[in-house]
Amino acid sequence: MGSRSRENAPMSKSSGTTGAGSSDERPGAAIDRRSFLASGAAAVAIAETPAAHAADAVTWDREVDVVVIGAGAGGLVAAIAAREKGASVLIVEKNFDIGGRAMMSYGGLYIGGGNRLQKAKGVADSPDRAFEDWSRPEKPMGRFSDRALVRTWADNNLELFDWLERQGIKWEAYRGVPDRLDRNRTRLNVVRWPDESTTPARGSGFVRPLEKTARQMGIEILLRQQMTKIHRESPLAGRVTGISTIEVDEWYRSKTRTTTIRARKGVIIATGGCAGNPVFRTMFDVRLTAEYQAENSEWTERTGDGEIAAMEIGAALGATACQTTQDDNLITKGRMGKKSNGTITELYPTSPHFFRARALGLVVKDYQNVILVKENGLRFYDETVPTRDYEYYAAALAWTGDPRKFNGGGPIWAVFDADGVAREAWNVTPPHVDPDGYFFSADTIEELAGKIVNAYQWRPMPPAALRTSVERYNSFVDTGIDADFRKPRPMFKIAKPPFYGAWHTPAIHDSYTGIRISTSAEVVDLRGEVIPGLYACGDSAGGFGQHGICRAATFGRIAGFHAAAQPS
Amino acid sequence: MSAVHGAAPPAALTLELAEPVPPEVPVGAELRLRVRVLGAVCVLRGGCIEIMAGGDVIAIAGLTASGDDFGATAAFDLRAPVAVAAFTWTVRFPSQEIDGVAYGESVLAVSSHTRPHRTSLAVWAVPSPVRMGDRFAITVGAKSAGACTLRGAKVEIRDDTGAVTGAGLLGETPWPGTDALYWTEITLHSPHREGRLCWSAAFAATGLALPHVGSSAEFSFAAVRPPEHRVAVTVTESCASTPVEETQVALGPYRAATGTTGTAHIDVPAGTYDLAVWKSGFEAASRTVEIAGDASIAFELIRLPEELTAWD
Repeated sequence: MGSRSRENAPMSKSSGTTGAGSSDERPGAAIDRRSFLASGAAAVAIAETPAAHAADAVTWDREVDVVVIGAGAGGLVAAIAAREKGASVLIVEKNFDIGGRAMMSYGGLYIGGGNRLQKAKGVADSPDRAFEDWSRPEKPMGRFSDRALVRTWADNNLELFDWLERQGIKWEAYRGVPDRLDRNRTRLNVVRWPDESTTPARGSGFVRPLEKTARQMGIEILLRQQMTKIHRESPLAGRVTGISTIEVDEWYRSKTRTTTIRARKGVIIATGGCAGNPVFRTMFDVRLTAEYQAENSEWTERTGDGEIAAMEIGAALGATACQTTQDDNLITKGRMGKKSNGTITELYPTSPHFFRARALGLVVKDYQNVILVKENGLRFYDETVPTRDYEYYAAALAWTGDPRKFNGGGPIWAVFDADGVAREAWNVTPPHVDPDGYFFSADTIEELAGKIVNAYQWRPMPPAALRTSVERYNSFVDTGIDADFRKPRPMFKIAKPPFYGAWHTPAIHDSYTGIRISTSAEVVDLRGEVIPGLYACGDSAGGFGQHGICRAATFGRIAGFHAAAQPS
Repeated sequence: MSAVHGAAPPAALTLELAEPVPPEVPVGAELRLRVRVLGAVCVLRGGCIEIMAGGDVIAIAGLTASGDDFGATAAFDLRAPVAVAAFTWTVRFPSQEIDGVAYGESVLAVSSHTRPHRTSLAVWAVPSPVRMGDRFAITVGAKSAGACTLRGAKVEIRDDTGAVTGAGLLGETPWPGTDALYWTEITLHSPHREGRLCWSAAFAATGLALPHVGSSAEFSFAAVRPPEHRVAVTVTESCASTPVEETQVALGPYRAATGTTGTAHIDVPAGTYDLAVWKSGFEAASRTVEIAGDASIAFELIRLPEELTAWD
């Protein structure tokens, strides 16, 4: 593992002892991947031996060493790591394709430690420096993290870098400037998967190579299978024994076929976090009610399936303050004109997933070209503020009078005119916008207000209110002073028909908290005890407020190694 | 509305609308109706219902079996009266024999009230600033909520005292890109006084084929003294000293955008102005300047840190 001693996760029975070294150093690394494949053993890697497990009286349909729930960044890494150590591995994924949140991500990893690419760029880095940067107390993003987990991440950077290369990951380049908590440059982008036809996002360059490697290693991936339960020997005690799944359709609606899968060594939760579950996420921020859409839900729902199932058998949550730091991109302004309005990521209209997105959305390059109003037709803040201005979100999420819903702030609509469309060079027709409730056009401002009909718009937008807002804003253009919200020098009137209203409600980016884990990625319960045989990684795991793929990969790899080393 | 049961034996039928008619509808609106006939003992295929207004039959619709219904019409459209008034339609199932079963008459009264169509306005292409006393043109469009033609209808412009300062007749065709926004260009005279003026467009909506409610909309512009001096504002990026093009520069009410050299030229009268510069991705900046003659002003913009503009 690391080159220095450090504390383990509090009260973890076995944390910090395995899972972070190179593959050659791993206990139980009896089977090298290449020799394993060459031997032809992959063909029998997954034993399918239905068996009755007396401990929890489940009749198992299938049986493997390690079950991984979720085929995103953390899950794929975990599966490969476990398989590399000789375990038979099965991944269940509820989408009809692999990739999870990572597929539509920017494809960047915070991975440094002084690797060869950093050295080539003259970046002086080390695990110590990475740890210091990402546990900085003066920054909210570092302030609330479990420093034992941060240390584990830092100590694993170099080994993970080499290991990911061996799994087929190709590096593009380090970001030009330090990012987020970096004082060094540790944000490294992967090369986009060249054959990816679903999305231009670079994240395919992480998950597709891993998918290829996983399949070559004989790891079976069951798609359209939603985990519904994690089994334990008794409800709140004993080892985790396996999972139940149910087949789902393309909208994740349950069908009837269920499967029980025994996991002889471990179950690894990698379900992508809770950003898409309003009930769950409002435990951390009660304002984040249902109108706020999780970015990239066209690819992955992120409904906290793993967290809920783990909590049902006693798991705790870890470092939940990371979710409410009001820092970074916990929530974003997003795109507009579509429901799932993540900021940078998009699908090709020809993608099999596009039926969920329904539109590409519009990106606002200059917020002088729009005003933003709440469901009541009234402006609420300076539209030009950057996406990380949390006072903007405080105003956007403030109550506007819905007597049935006191939390959340309702929809936000961007209102603009034909001149704004021309200045931004927007295409305001499908598939760029979704006219089914998320984009409207009209001949006049009052007519626009009347046309805004949306599931989250709890009352018709008052036409007179919207007209007054626009006329008042236009007067600010003449005076040069936004007397209401101090928008810097309002530049353009909203006057030329047609007029447009586009869904511009803030979008929820990622999960920064989840299941409490040890430094060995073992799930920890409410008493601080490890739940034997249960692991979590990625956005499902809490404790480390780092955005992106590297956190998932770090603890996915540790979980895979650790689970594979368990007795059957 | 209430259902009236047919009195004639042997079968008493009940009529109902699949969707109720709103209590208030615009004059002349097309209302979509679908009538269900309840209580039949067998499929009513081949039967019909009538819609009556006053004593006249204004529509006849055939019955078919649909879902759990033994008899229902397909959806059909009826036009509401064109005058503003309460109205009642009678849905009538006449006495008839269907598949050997005799049914008596059943009726259902459907009542609503018509109201005038609403209208709304848009005012655009208003130049600002405008030199005091100069002629200038604006464009005004009017829209009927019922998408009725408004060609030839009159629009007036009123100043901040309510006095009419201009008028125009709406043209023949809607503004490009709109559904039914009839428009006209109106020439106005800027008053001989300086300052921001708030005027209004007013649409009485009289003389139209259907009753409409009038509407108004405000617009504003700045009336200014004639320019005396030319001011060149050159915007560069702080530190890099490179010109920043396509930057919005505002000197009081006067506006221009920088070109490829980073310079914007603005003609203004002498005075003290707030000079504001805006380009997305840079910090907004402004300062007060005194203009007493032709001038060149250098302005530096600070690029926002990448952290504030990076998305992921």
